[in-house]
Order: sequence, then C-alpha cells, then structure tokens
Amino acid sequence: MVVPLGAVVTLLVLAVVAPLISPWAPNAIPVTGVIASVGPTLAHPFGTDPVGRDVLSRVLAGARVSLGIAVLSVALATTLGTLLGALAGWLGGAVDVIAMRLLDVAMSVPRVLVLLCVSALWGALPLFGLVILLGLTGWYDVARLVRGDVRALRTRDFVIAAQATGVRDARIVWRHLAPHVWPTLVVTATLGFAHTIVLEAGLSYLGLGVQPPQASWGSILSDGTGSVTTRWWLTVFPGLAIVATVMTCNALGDALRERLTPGQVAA
Amino acid sequence: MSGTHGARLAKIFGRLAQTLFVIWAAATLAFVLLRSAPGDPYSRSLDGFAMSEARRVELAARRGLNDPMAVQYVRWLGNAGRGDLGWSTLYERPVRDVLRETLPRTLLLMSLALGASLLFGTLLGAWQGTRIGSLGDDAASTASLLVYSVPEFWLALLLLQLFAQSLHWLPATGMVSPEYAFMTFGARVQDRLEHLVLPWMALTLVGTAVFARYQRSSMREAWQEPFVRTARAKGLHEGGVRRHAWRTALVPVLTLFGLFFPALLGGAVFVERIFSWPGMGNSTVRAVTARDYEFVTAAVVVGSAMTAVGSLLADWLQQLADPRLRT
Repeated sequence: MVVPLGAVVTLLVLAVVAPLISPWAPNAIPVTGVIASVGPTLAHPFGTDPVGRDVLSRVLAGARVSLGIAVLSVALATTLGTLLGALAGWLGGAVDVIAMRLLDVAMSVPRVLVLLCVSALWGALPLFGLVILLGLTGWYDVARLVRGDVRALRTRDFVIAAQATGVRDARIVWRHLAPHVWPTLVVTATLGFAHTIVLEAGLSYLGLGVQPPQASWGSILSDGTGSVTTRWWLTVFPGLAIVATVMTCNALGDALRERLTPGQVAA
Repeated sequence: MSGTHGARLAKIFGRLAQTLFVIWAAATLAFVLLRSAPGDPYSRSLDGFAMSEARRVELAARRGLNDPMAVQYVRWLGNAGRGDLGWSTLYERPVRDVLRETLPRTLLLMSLALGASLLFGTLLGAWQGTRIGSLGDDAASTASLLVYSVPEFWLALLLLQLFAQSLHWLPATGMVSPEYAFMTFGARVQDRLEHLVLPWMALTLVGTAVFARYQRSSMREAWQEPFVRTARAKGLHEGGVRRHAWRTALVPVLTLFGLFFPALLGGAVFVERIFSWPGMGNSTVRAVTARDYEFVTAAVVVGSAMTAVGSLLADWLQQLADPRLRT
C-alpha cells in the first residue's frame, strides 16, 4: 500500500516539477550543430529524436501531458458515472431500465473504436478535447458499479430508518450511501487512470491524440516508428515511462482493493 | 414440462431481441456520429492529390452523401436489413466483400490468442491460488502485474524489434511472405504459422496476465471454502480437491472471458496495425482516417455484435460450469 502510493505520488510530483528539472527545452530543435538522432550520451541520457530534441526532456514534458489528461478525464468520468449511476440506482423503475439499456448500447461498442472515430474525424483535437473525449467514454464502469451499490443499499434498514425519520433524499445519498460507495470509486478511478494512460498513448502513437510539437509518451513513440531498430531509445524510454506509471497505478489499485473492499474478487 | 420449456424459449427470444436492439442502437449512433463529423469521404483524397470541388460534389452526390441525414439513414437501414452494408469508398468494393476477407483473419488471431490466454491464465492463476504468499506465487504475481501493465502496442513493438529485426527469427509483417504463391504446401503452412507467432504472442502475453490475476483471486477464495475441507476430510486425493475448487473458481473467470472480447478487439487494432496484419482492426484504422463512413459503421456493427456474442458466451459458459444458474 505504502510503496505504490509513494511511487504514484513521486510520478505526479515529477510531472509537476518537470519544467524545473528538465535539462533541455522539450520542443527546442538545436539551431547549431547536427540535427540528427543520437543515442544516449551524458548530455542526452535518453538520446535525441530525429530532429535533435532531447528525449529525456520530452519524456518529462510528456509526463505532464499524459498524466494531466488522465487525471482530468478520470475525474470527469468518475463524476459523470457516479451521478448517473446513483440516479439510476436510487430512482429505479423506468429511469433505471432506460439508463441500463443505454449503458448496454454504450458498452457494446469497443471504446478504442469510438476514440479512433472521433479523434480522426474531428481531426487534431486540442488537449481539452481529448480530456472530454476520454472522460465521456470512460464512465460506464463507474455508473454500473455505483448503480449496483446504491440499489443494494437503498433497501437496507439504515436507509429506510433515515427515510422514516424524514431525511431528504439528497442527504441520504450523500451522508448515508456515499461512504459505502467511496471505496469502489477510489479503486475504479485508480485502475481507470492506468487504462486511460494506455489509451491516450495508443491514440497519440497513431497520430490521433496529442498533436506535435507537444510531447506525450505516445507521440514520442510515434516519432520513433520506422526506426525501432536504429533508434531504440525513442521506443524504449517513453515505453518504460508508460509501463512504470501504469504498473504503479495498478499496484495501488490492487492494494486499495485489498484494503478497502475486502471480499470482492479482483477484476 | 411444456410450461418451463415455453418460459425458456421466451427467455431466449427476449435475450435475442435485446441483443439485436443493442446492435441496432450502436449502429444508429455510429451513423449519426460519423455523418455529423466535418467533411466527407471525398473531402481529402488519399493519394494526396487535391480534387476539384465540382468532382467532389459529383462523387458525393453519386453516393447519396448530399441527401438529408434522415434519408441517408433510412436508405442505409433498409440496405443493412437486406444484408447489404454499403460501399467502401476506401477499398472501392462492397463493404461486405472487404469484411468477408478481413474479418476471418482477425477472428483467427483473436480466437487463438483468447484460447491460449484462457488456458495459460487459468492454469497459472489456479496454481497460484492454492499457494498464496509462497515464493512462486509472489514471483508469478509480480510478473503478471508487470505484463498486465504493458500496453499491447508497445509489447508488439518490442517483439517486432527483438525477434524480427534483431534476431531475424520470424517475419516482421503481413500474413504470408511475398513468395508464398511459389511455396510447397508444407512450406505454406510453416510460413503462415511463422507470421502468426508474433502478433499472437503480443495478444496472448497480456491476455494470460489478465486471466491469471483474476483466476488467482477467485481460486484463493474457493480454496478457503468449507467444501474443500470436507473433500479433503473425506479422503479425496489432493489433485481431486484442486479440481473441485477450480470448478467453482472458474465461474467468475468465464464471465471475464465474455467481457474480454471488446478489450481484445481494441488490442487487436493496434497489434494488427504494428504487424501489418491485414485484418479488420488494421482496415478499420485506415477506413477511419479516410472517412469511409459505411465501412466504419459496419465495423461498429461487427464490434458490437462481437461484444454481444461475448456476453452470450459468458452466460452460457457460466451455466455450464455452475448448475445453479441453469433455468
């Protein structure tokens, strides 16, 4: 629990202070000297990319972009999913039936396909657009889980007792139900964060996510395509950054689940 | 007897109707989404040559793209109902023909990867579940967490680099070698298998980690159930006890098996792209960037149908494994 949490916090801090510790300007193309991709040296520990930009600085700048997008879109997805899930679970009846059928439809289309279509057809989405897109396609699981939890809880004695004593619905949901739903939310959001990092990297790798010259881990990988053999540093270093981040988030998610939701089978 | 039979039939039909509704709704959403995007299939020519405005309008009119969206939708739905999925502007062939060619290639890759992932993953996870906390379990857990956290496309890039470009053990791209047509039967089989190995490995490694993680925790739970102790107390040999527990622990994994379909399809998009595997995923990425509306809509229908098949399969397998769920 402590180790993965520490690792995630370290990564986030690294992303925040990236401009301070970055040895070179991430988007600067050298004016003098050779504009060529060189392997790792002391001056450029991660090498340089085909136009001579420092890969270490770009990986650090990419951390800001990749983690920033993931944090914001997971926040959006979790908020949306919680609201809709709670609404469907609490109100029940026709609202619930319609919401569940819509959720079936939304979940039936592979998320990658939706992301590909929107990012390719609307072309060169700004970072804000990517956040919205990833957020709007990421809330299904949250909604399903919250709805299930709320439905299971709303017939429990403590809820009925609260209703009988005249507590307003909104207050019941917030004060009596939310504490039970929190653990699920924290675990789902942590794992969703890891998944979003991978999706964004994939989209940017295809040239459909973060647009040049902006660095993200996926776009650095895409700068290295076609030259994996000769310029392995363009593939290996940003890839390791992705794996390290995703792995710490998954480890944190596992630890949180063990701690917060005992008795549930791991997803 | 006939009463339960009727109820069962009604249930099956209900499920089928629901599945068809989901696919139809997904297709409709895709239709609206694609057509409300700026541009059309002819607004950017693929070979980089600009097209004159008059020519563009003429081509778009020929494909009915200037009609109101509702008119286009009704026409598309009518055709789709008769099994005609439209015309691919990218491949300049009927969508159905392109699908008939590319879909089996994706299904081949996916089913081989899915089958192997399920087999290796459940075996590893079940083995781990009976020795939680041992050195072997810890090592396997760390390994599967690592592999689970590797993006499939990056793994694919590394495999490509290592086995194809550095060691030259296996071919890098495509489904067959250029000289395939001149090979003997034995050489053809070998050639096809060699091309399958790397994309299959990229998908299977990640899939195995997914199933192993899941199976480990469900086996861990089953292993603590009273029936395990009972079986052992009655003198059942250890292998038999393990089989008993495994059967119970398999049920949640089978649910995942069905739900894993869309994720695998997503992974296949990237893996096919990197290995230039001429399947559905690869052609969908190309079709999306070329604004090939009818092909992309068909891809959404196929994706949605696969998801539906996955969840039906999950239910069926669950009932097979757990008699209590049978109706």
